[in-house]
Amino acid sequence: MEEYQMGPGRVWKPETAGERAYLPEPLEPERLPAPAGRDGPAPVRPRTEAGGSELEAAVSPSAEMDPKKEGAETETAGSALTETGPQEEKTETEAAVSAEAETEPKKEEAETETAGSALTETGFQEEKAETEAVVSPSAEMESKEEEAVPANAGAEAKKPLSNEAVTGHTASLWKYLPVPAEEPEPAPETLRLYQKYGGGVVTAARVRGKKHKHEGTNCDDWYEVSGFQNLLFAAVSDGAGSKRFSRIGARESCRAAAGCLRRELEGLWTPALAADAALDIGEPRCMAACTALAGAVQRSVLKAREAVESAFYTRVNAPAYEAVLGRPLELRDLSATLLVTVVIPSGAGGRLVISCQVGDGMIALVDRKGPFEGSVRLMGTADSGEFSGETEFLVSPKMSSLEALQSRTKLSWSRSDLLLMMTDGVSDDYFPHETELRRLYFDLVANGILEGESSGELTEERLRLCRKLPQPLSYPWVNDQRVQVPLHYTRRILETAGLTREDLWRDGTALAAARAELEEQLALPDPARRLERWLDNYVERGSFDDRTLVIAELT
Amino acid sequence: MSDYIRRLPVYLLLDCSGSMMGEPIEAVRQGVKALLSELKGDPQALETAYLSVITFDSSARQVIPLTELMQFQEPELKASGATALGGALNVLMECVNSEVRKSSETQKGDWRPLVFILTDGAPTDVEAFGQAARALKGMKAANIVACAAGSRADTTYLRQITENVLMMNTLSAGDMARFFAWVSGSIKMSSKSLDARPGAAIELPPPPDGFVIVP
Repeated sequence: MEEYQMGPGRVWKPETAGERAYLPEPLEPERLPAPAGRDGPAPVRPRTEAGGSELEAAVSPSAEMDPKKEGAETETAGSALTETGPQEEKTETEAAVSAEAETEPKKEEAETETAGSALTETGFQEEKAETEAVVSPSAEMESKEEEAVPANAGAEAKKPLSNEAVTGHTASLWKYLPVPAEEPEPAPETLRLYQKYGGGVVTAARVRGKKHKHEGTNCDDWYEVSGFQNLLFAAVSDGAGSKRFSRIGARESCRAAAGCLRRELEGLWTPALAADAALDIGEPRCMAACTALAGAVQRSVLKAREAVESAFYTRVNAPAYEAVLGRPLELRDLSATLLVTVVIPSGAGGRLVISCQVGDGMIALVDRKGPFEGSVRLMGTADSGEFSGETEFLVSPKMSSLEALQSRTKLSWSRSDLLLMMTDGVSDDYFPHETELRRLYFDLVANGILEGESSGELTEERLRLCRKLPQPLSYPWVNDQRVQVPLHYTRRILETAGLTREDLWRDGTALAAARAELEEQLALPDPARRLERWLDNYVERGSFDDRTLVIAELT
Repeated sequence: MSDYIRRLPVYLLLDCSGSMMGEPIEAVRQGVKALLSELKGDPQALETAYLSVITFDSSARQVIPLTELMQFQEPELKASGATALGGALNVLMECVNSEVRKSSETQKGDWRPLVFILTDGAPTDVEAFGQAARALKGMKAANIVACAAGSRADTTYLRQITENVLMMNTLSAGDMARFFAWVSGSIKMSSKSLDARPGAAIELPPPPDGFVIVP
């Protein structure tokens, strides 16, 4: 047997294998552009993820379990539903207990009270959320040169490069090419929506990824949001990047799912059903109501699949598609993921959320008023294999039955007041989701898309903190390299100011001070435009996919 | 950890046996140079692709560990000795096992690695090769393309490693340049269509003129 060398000068033997561990690239804060006029101290490394999750795990569930909430989380509606993780469960219970302490006794009351708050309060108003996607031409932004350009590729070659050094180098290499005019069914460059409805307000946007801009190809993401009374229906889809017409699958599935859900709920939703859904989960009537609602969600996914199939059949013989592909169109050319969610207010500030997810992306609920631990509840589990990018699609043969969708259906009662639905172009940048989706929430606040908790007086300590904040980081806009777009990154805020995520959760001062610096961002007339600009411009290394984010602030 | 990015690991397995001496090994050097300069102009490749070089002659070694493109420096290639392709496959498996990150609940996995094997002969470590080829095929841990260069290259061995076997008729500088241009095209294409289905055939650009896909 010969000997094999591993690396220069090292001899490889099978027995001693595995000694070489990959060393993660350390962040190099000193490479960041120095904040002008701010003498920041040496940046402090943020707490590690491991620390955060240990902390979470250490929290013991509250002794008092609210029977309603507790029951709600477990084994709902039999096989049709899968409960969310136990970790969120307990925190939810805590939150429910503390917030509802005075509103006891509940059981019987819940019936009437919920029916009241869910329905009569809004007085069966005309549906408010007739939402249409606003198609905007590329937003006009003033050209403004900022000095805070990311550090360029490092001179010291041996040290591992920071991600910012790499993105600083690649920033000028990304090209912008418009969508090809000759391809059938071009997708709009951006979509956005800002819409109040009976149960809250929706802010959504979708942007074409740098990859597609660079290559002059279409955006493959889509979303649809619709409402009925105080119910919200949302669908998000990401067309497979390797399939030239996956955008059609994404669009058709979203439209069909949102449309189907609305029709189903319009037919299904009665004051009696609303009351049943708000009952204790142990009640058979509640079980029946939830099964009916979850069934509607699953049928909407099947409808979406049918819609994609029928979209395929109407195009299969059209020469325009074959001309682009160089072969006949196939069903798998329309491969796309699908995430569907229904939000149903169930009285007393609580709500029932039912979701079904096929493929990657993420659905999450955030309880902005709750404690730090357990504030994020994941409503989906992305299908993924051992290696990245191995995902399921709606047109996969195994997605054709209700049974297949049952394990993908999740149901949750909670007091969470923020729903986030996104394609993997966004969710991949916030991984692992359990801890990092809080960072997404912080990024949304820091960049003026969501309102933060208004903090009290500006104390001396808070002022000191604000002086330690990093300047926004600017990258050139891919669409026009002359435009620099300053944005905030929570990761940098944590690092430079020496804060933890929990600090930010408890006290919004730092984020509020950070957002106040983003004048151009705040000058935009509505949160959807800010969201669109942020999605279109935040830079993460290796993140150049289409980005879609639907945010529902639930009231 | 959130600081991790999803990388596209690319392994080049280069034959440095004695028969490569002279023009062929010089052509490989030039090819690697050209490959690098091509990839360094591509932002997607720069942000995601990591490159490693494994060479084999009478033994096999990883001469460059998985390195990011911006820091990659070309290896010194010298031709001598036999063709320990089996050994090279063992080194490859070891490297994939230790360098490539798999997805988990808390870790972003890398993309499925891309492996390019270039050889002008047949393995001289036949026994090790047979075992390694079987193990590698069983692992399904990488998308592998093998290129048999010149008339003496034996494609039947390469077929034991992968379905994707190319044949290039000569060891000329021109053919080698075309091969590496095609490799860079494949890496770019892979770093773009990073959502290939598990186990599905990888989509690669059509092979250059003068190359034959071995059926």
